[in-house]
Amino acid sequence: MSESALLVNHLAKTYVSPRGTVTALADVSFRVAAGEFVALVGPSGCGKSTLLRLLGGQLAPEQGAIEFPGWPRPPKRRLVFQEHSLFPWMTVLDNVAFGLEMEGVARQERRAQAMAQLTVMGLADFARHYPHELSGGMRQRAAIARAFVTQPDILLMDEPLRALDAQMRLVIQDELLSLWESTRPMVFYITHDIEEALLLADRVLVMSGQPGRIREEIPSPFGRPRDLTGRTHPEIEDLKWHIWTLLEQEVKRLLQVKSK
Amino acid sequence: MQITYRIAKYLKVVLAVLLLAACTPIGEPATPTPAPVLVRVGVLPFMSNAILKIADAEGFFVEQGLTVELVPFRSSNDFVPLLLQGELDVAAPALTAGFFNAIARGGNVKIALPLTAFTPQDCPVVVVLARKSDVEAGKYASPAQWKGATIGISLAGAQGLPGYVVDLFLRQAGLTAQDVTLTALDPAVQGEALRSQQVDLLYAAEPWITRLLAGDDVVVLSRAEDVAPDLTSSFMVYGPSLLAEPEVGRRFATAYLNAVRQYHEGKTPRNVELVAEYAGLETELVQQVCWSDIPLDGAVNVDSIMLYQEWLHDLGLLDRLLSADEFLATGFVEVPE
Amino acid sequence: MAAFALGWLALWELAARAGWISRLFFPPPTTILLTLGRMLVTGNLAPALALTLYRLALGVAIGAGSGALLGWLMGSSRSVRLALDPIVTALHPLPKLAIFPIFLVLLGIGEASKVALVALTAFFPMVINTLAGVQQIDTTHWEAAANYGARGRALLQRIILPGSLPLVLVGLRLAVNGALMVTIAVEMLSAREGLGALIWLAWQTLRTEELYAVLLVIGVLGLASNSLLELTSQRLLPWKGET
Repeated sequence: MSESALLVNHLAKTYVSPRGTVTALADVSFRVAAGEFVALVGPSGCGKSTLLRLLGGQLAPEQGAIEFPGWPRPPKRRLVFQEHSLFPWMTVLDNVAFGLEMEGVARQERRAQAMAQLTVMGLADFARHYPHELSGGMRQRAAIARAFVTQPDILLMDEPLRALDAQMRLVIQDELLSLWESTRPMVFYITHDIEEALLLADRVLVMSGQPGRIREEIPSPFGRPRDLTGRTHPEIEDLKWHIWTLLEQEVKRLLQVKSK
Repeated sequence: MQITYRIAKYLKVVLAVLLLAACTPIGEPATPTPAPVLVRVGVLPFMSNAILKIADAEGFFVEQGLTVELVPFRSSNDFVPLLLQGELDVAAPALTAGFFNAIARGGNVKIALPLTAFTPQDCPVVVVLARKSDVEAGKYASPAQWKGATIGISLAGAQGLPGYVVDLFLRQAGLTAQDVTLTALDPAVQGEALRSQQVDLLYAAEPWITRLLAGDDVVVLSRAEDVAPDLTSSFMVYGPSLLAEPEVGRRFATAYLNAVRQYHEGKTPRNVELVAEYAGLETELVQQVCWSDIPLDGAVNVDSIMLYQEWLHDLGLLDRLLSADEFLATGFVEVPE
Repeated sequence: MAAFALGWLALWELAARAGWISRLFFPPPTTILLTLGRMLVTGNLAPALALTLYRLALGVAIGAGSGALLGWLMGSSRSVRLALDPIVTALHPLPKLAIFPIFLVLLGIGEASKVALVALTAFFPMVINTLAGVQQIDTTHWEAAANYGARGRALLQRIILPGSLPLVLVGLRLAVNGALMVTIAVEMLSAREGLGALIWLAWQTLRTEELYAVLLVIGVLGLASNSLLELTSQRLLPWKGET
């Protein structure tokens, strides 16, 4: 692995609620190289979203530290959410230009950049539309455009394709990878889908919950460019089975299913 | 919270009246019915209306074979419609343009008895007040100096009898209503309005006069009885039911005049007690205030009404001028020759 | 619906003319319309309408304007919200007309006390709806805004104001309707001019056809103001779809 651009050391986070204290993360450590695509999988409530928001700076860690030796100053980190994160009161163009607007880019310039991004993604015809006039898939693509147009150093994606059907996901995954290839930000990608994690990422961090920690790091054996259908990667079945055995007990415990 | 009550009451009564009117057509009087055992009288929380309380408490109504129900109201605004609809049999509405117009449009209500009158006495019942400081500075002392003044008056009053009386004051000095500003005031805030100089002059009646004079910063400028002596200022009005039943109307009048006789004994402990209890005032205040005259003979000063009616007509508030026999019922009182 | 309304009016006309119902309290609709026409041409209806509209507009501008400002402030600041929420909640249901005598003493008998009461009426629905408008902005939108660097003025202009606008406009409609009722009521209580004063006078003189004519004008006024607000909503909220 090349030089680490991101170091996570002994990270811990607890939430205090009226019903007691919940340890969301306990002693999480890993390192990530520049331009690496990292997927996070794990059962519900294992602290994936908490980890993502700690990385994004939305939350502050209680113990441990996140360091960015790869950048002279804190890197630009942008989030892509599950769904409905576009501002409904702005046109698609204004939504995509929003990050640039907040960075102080002049109106003409940010509109041109946003339009270029939309054109690349084939959404130019919908620039003047409002989000409610778009399909769910187009909305998520616009949300991805909003993140990419700001040229983030680190892209934090929280199950961005969760609400879409399988065919749409396949197409958007492909698009996402080609966008990533062109600018190579570091990506953290949360998903429930083990196959999606293996096919998109360079490395999969398998997490377990209560308290959240990293069970195992699995480097993806596949080269790039990827065949996202998985047909030419027969070894994927073994890896899926391996990750599933790591998660099975915990998922069954969560669901109160008796193991046989 | 008299104002709130007033508006709520107003809306409620309008609705009630509209609904009732929808169900009970008026017009030709119903076929004669037996003498009503029950006479419903709409009453206001004014000292003058205590006369009905006296008649009730002393058994004058019972003597005449009448069962009288005193129905309390806060304002007289809805008395005429309620009389017309038969909800009330007798009441003392303020004599507004509405009273005359109701008759002009075929409504069967008539003045039967006088209530209060501006009989000259040794104390005033209706006056115009001013701030003492102004009067000491030589302002407003005579009506001629009222030009440009702002005069506080009750809302209904401006287009009713109070407005007429103010107009009479102005006429004395050759002024008209155009020379002053009339401002509608609720009685509860009128003193404050005068003291804080929101109005320069105030048209006021008892018991407010006594209350305001107690502050020693307010003085009486003019008395209504000086400018309109013997004007009958309020009346007992009969609705269609009593007008159709002269016998009952006469018995009511007799009981009423018996009460007036007791009232004329003055501030006896019994009268003070009844008035205070009825109007919800402290006994002490009731003893201090000036009591209105209620004519003993039951005679209405028709000329004063005609003059007042003409004033309303000049303001454009009347459909037409009525003749005395249209608004005045006779035969209920035996007026001594 | 229109046929039903016309039928009803025709029945009313017939009943009033035939004397089945009291003409004093239910003048025939044609008489009411003629009266309205006469009042429009010769009478004092136009100045009264203008004065009522002036009181309404001024009261709504002051009350709804300050209500929206406070609502946005409460929506943006947790401490302000916690401090003021109980006060707003406690004062909101007070019958505004009950406070009128106090306003008379405080502000005098002129326009100020009337406009203040109208403003107070417009204030509460505006605060409550504006606050609700800010609070119903999706958590994801707050998070996205923060992540993309929106704070301070930009957050206010690009997120809080437009995000709360649908409920702000609902609040404005409630404010205008409430304010119209209170304007008329206050004029009935203490004004010598304005539509409310005309109603009062019509009742004082028992000229019920004038009463109905003014009520008709007020009805049209309510209809017009609501249509205008509806149109404004559609203009300002192209992103709301047809829901």
